[in-house]
Parts: sequence; C-alpha cells; structure tokens
Amino acid sequence: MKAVTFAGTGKVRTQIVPDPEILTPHDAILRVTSTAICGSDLHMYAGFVPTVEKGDVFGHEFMGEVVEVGSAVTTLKVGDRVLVPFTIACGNCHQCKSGRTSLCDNTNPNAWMADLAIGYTCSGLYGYSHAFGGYPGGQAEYVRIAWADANAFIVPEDLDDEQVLFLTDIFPTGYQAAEQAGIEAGDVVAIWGCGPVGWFAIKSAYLLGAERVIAIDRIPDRLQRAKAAGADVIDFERVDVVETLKYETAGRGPDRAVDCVGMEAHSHAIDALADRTKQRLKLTFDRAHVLRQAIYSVGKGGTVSVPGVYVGFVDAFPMGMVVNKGLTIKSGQTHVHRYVRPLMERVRRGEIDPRAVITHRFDLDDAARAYAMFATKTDGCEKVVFHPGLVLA
Amino acid sequence: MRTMRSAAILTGVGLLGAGGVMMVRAMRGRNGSRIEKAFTIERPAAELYAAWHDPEQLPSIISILDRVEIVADEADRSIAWRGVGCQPTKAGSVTFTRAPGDRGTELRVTLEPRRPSARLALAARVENDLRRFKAKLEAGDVALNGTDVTS
Repeated sequence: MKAVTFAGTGKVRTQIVPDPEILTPHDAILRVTSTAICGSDLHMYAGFVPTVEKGDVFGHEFMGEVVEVGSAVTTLKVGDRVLVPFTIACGNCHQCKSGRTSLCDNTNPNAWMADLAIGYTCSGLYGYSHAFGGYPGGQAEYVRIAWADANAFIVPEDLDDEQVLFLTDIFPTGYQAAEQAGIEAGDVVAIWGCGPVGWFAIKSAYLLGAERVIAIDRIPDRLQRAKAAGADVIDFERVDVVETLKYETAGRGPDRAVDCVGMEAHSHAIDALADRTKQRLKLTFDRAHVLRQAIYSVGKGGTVSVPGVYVGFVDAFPMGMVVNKGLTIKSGQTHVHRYVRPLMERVRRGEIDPRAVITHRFDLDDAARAYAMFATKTDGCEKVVFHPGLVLA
Repeated sequence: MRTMRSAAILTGVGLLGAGGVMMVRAMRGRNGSRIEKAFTIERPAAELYAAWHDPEQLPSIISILDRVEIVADEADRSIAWRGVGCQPTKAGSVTFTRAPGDRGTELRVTLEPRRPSARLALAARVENDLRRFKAKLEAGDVALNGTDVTS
C-alpha cells in the first residue's frame, strides 16, 4: 500500500510499504478514506521529536471503512464507517475507566522508553514516534487499529468525512484546552496560536461561556479566521502582546490563557532567541516563549491551559510568577474518547462546522509537497486533508 | 561553610540535569542487589494469586525463571519460591495487597539475582514481563506495533 513516511529532517515521501495485518484478536484494519496532517506532525517533520525513525508512517488523524476484524472484536463489522482517536485506549485500566484515555497504562509497546523519558508512560499514539508507541500512522491507504472495540467510533451516514475527521484530534484538543482552562461565564480568554487547534479553542471557549476571546498570532490568514470565529486579535509582530492584553482587559489580565503553540514558538524576544539557539545546538528541547508569555500575561488567580506540544525540558520556567499570582497550570494529551460523541452532536446540531479549518486537499502521492507547503504556510496552507483512494478533480 | 558546599552541590546537580539524576537513581535501584518491581493491576487479588500460585505457570509470567519450588504460600496474599538448579535468580517472592481507592491490587515482586552484576539486565526483563502480565489481565492483549520487538 501507499503510505507517507519520514525520510529525514524536513522530508517525507509517499512510498509503498507492506499492508498492515491483524496482530492480535482485538485488532481491526481500516481502509483509510480521509486523513489529515496535524500541526504536531510538523514537530516530527522538523526533527524535534526524539525516536522518530526514517520509514515511520506518519498520521494520527484518520477515519475509514473497516475491512477486517480480529476474532475478539465484538462491536464492529466489515463495512462499518469509523473514526479513530489518535490516543490508543485499552478501555479497561484505571486511567481508561476514569476517562483519561490518553494516559492508558497498556497500549504503549515501548512503555519502557516513555517511562525513562517522563516517569510513567502515556497511551500509545498513532504515527508519533517510537517512545509513544511506534504504531504506524494513518496517512496511508490502510491502517491497523489496536483494541478496535475501544477505539473505533461509528460515524452516522448523515455526517460526511470532513465534518467529523477532526474529532480524531484537533477538535477535542481545542475543546479540552478550553474546558480544562476552567472557563466560566463572563471570562476573558487569551489564546496563543490561531492554527486549527487555536480555531477550535476559540470556538470552544465561546461554547463554554467565555464573554470575550483575544487571539494571538502573526499570520494574516489565521488572524482573519480567528476574527471570523468571533475573537479579537493581536498580531504579535506589530504590537506588544503583554501590554495589549493588559490594556484590553483594563489592568486585570485575561482570566484564562491557552497556549496552542507549544515547543516551536516564534518571537524576537530575548528568551525566545536563547531558546532557538539552544534548540539548534540540542541543548534544550523546547522553545517555550509562548508559555512564559502566557504565564506573565494571565491575570491573578488565573489558569494557563497548555494543549501545545512540549517534549522535554523547558528552560527559564517562571515559577515565581506561578506562585505569586496563584496560577493553575493544566495540560495533557487529549482524552479524545470522552469528547467524540458529545462533539459529534454539536456538529450535527450545526453549532460548529469543523470544515472551516480545511485549506488544502492533496493526493497522497503529493504528500512531500503538502508537508512543505504546510510547514512554510505557503498559499495560506493551514490544514491539509488527503482522501486516499479518491481521485481528486 | 556548610551552606556554601550545599549550594555548590545543588548547582552541580542542576547542571547535570534533572533527567540524568532521575535516570541514575532509577538504575541504582531501591535495595542493593535485589530486584524489586511493583505494578498496580485493576483486578482482585484472588485472580492474580490464582495466576501465580502454580509453580508450573510462574516461568510463563516471569521469563527469567526456570523450575521453582514454592517455599511459602498464603492464599491471595503472597507466594515465595526458591529456584531449582542453577538459574539467573536464586529465590523470589510476590505479594498481593489491595490498592487504595478501589484501584485493584498492588503486586510486588522481589528476586535475588545469582550474580549481582546481572541485576540491571534482569530487572529490565522482569519489568517488561510484569507489564505484559498487567496488560493481559486488564486489556486482554499485550500492546504490539508490528515494528519494535518488545519481548
């Protein structure tokens, strides 16, 4: 089958790899009908995620049709149309039973690597490094689903692929970011990063009762889309973010701050330049300028929510600000499973149309070009979708 | 003087990096030359005990065991054994205790390596074995990705 694989820093290619096979009785195989490139794929593409190897199949946002099921699978049959969360749940451990599926104890075959890196492993992830599972991803014609009963969600016929595809990751990720920020009616919420996750976070903040959302980015198309989603916007290349937030909130600071940027923050501030140099020299993993700025800008007693991806250690972490302003920091990979059905209902009721974030559709064969455009945001490329097996007009 | 030295040591530790320190501590182990590993398994103690108390079955759970002789056995609570013949560990034991907050059972395994120098390698094997045991009981399967060898 065709699959998009890592080919070294800044390179992917579409190549023929062996078809996936059923490995345990709980598996299923999907024929992928839709899959997307996620912003977090760019961290691997840029070479910043350890234990990504050449030949690894990328892709953790995908859906498709069940073409084979293992003997222990009870809730799925061949022909079912399903979407699959990027975090793999066993469904039975204490974490899964508590709804924290991205912390599943049992689905990372390389748990020892993650134990070493972070203390205790999180769940296995599709197409996101060997330390996080080494599972081949879904930017491919076919993909194997582990623990299929716990991980494949049937999609009703009245919803098309592009309406529900982002329930696999970025919609729940933006929603969880807003939810864990503890937004209350009347809150002012500042959101850094207006890519697709930021867009979903803006929408979700309003769904959860925020009175005002202020969104921060520098790319005109993104700021435009954030505005269309109802946010006031700050272009961080034009104005000082901290001063502007203070002024806009009349000296209170935003009640909630959300970092939808993560480890590859762009800025010309001194701390950001130091981070960039150290990251190039492999002296640090993460460029945490946005996180520091969010902590500095947020109002007293506020919450900082971090859906953005960080992989290692953050230098110059402003703990004194956290202590003295009485802040709460919330983070985590997304517990996708708990959000799929309720958010699907919101899509069906027309409260949100996730298709708004799609800017480009490519053939799987053109993945190298798609990644290059997405990485550089050429032609306003913000969200790429592939429909393997479908001939694009 | 004392404060100065503490400060210097703290700076050194800081430079070494938190990750390095934690890793070194993990490798040193908890208790001399013994292997000690613990997992919480979302199952009642009786079910874990049933899987462990058959000496024929023990080597299928802990791969470094060969033939064993049970020397102590308390139903649903603990089992101790002695290795028969020459094998990587001389003796071992397992205990099952109720986990706080209704989270199943805490399983603790202790093994005495024949050669202390083999402890690190054996400990890694045992950890992997126990992780597989937990996954089989809780999730019905051991995690596989089709690419990495994990056992």
